[in-house]
Amino acid sequence: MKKVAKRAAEKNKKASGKPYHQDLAHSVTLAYKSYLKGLQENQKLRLIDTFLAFLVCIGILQFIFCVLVGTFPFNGFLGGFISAVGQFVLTVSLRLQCLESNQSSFKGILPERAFGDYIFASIILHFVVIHFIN
Amino acid sequence: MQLLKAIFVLVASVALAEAKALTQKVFSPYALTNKTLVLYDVRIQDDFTSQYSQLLQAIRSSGSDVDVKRIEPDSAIALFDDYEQRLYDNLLVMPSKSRLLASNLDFKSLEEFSRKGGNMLLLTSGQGSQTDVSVFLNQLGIYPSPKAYRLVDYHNSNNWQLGVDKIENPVFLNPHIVPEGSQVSELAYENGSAALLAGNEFIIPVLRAKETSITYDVDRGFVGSQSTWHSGSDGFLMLAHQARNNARVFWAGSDTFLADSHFQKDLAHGIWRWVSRVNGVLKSDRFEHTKVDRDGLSLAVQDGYKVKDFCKFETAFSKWNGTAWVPYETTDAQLEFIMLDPYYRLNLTLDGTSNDSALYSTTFQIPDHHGMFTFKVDYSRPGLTFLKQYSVVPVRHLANDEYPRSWQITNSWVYVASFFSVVVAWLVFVFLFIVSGKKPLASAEKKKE
Repeated sequence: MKKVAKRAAEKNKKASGKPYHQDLAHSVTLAYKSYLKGLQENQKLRLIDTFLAFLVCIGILQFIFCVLVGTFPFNGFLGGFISAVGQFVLTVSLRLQCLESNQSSFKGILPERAFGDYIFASIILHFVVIHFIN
Repeated sequence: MQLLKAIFVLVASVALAEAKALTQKVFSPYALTNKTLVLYDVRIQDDFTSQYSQLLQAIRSSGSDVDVKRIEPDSAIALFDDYEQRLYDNLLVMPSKSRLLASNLDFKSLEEFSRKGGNMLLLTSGQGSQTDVSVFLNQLGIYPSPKAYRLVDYHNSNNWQLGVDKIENPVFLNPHIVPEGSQVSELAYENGSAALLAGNEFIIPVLRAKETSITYDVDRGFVGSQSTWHSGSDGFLMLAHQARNNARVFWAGSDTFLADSHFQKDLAHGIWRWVSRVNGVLKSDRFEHTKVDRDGLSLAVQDGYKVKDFCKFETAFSKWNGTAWVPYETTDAQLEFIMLDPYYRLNLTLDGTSNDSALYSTTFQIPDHHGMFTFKVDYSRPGLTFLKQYSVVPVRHLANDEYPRSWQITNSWVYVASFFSVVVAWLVFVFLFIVSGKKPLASAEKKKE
């Protein structure tokens, strides 16, 4: 039954005249364009995304080093890796709160309040990591 | 004059010491009462004391008084005093046709006697196999053939109808019970019985039946699978047993090799001295472990073990030579370092000997595992008293400040550097985030232009 349904769906799509990959490419470019547009309009978003990219790089580097050299100071690896991941998560949270389109979800939270929370959480993260890594 | 006197005194004292050594009786360090009870059946040995005078002499020369009593079902024999202490160190029971050993003795009395550290030389034969003695032996896992059975060997016996009367070139299996020096070319074994074994690891085989021998029930006449007790080398003619408390039992299926007519001094003395715990007795006075450094030198501060510490273990073994403790040298002693399972089982090496003991030691590194560990030396060899010693020690894990710090480990520099780069980048990010406005990029670029 499922196969039949699938085939029917395929036929429908073909009938609309567009193959999948074109569909997909279209939606990706659309998303990318809207993303760039958002960036162009907001300097802070650009800053945040640069920082996020940096964190991803640091995390990947540490992971590769750990795979190649071994897990020996495992707490060191965990500390370094988690600091990157944790900072990434916190920064993404900040990014969500910065977007105007999300304002409805964070009613009553001022941008200053959001940024203060972010700093506070980050300092706690750094404090924990620096103790764990030793 | 003075010199002469001194020499005289010296010579005299040496002579005296030698004389003393010659006359000095051997004795057992376990001796409590220095008495041996001998039970015999007058229906089998009508003149026991003269027929077995050399055996009695052997018992006396092992430092024990002999108390000879007849086996009579109606009279009572006291093995224990009013406070349930043993009255005798050793018990010798000759083959008996009697229903009871004594009115107050049964196999439980023999068990109790053994449990309290008494030694027993139990003899059964084709002539007599007393029920309580057999039941007691059965409890140990020794199953002697009953009274009507006869040991025969059609290949090695001249008079096969009468059965085996001697064992030629017997091979004794335990050097501690029958030493190499007291091997005999011919062992008198008349009216013999043979025993089967149950699986009891405390039993020590001493003499195995010949491969060509069988025991069969004379009353049944024919030899068949129903009428044989043992066949071939699954039967035993002499067996020993040493319980956990080192109390010894020796069983033989015939008594003739101990009679004056066939007495072989070395063999009989060897067996009796093993039974009465003069021979094959070990002790250990020392059981020490110390924390040492990497080179095996003892540390000044002995503050308990932590993982990966080095430890030196020492013990000392002595053997009783009949009159004194002498060093016991061996190469098969081991130390176990146990938490549930042995983490290590290490050979102990001989360090040297003192007057009365041989010193063994080993040095090892405690495993990288914390918990309650046991030092254990279990030297249990058939024919020797069991040496079991143990001591429990805690092994702690590393304290918080005993681990290497992150900067001492080169590998972790990568992670530490990454972490600090995250922190620095974060600080820069926070600064820029505060400084930057919400301006679109295009307008900023235009402004610049």
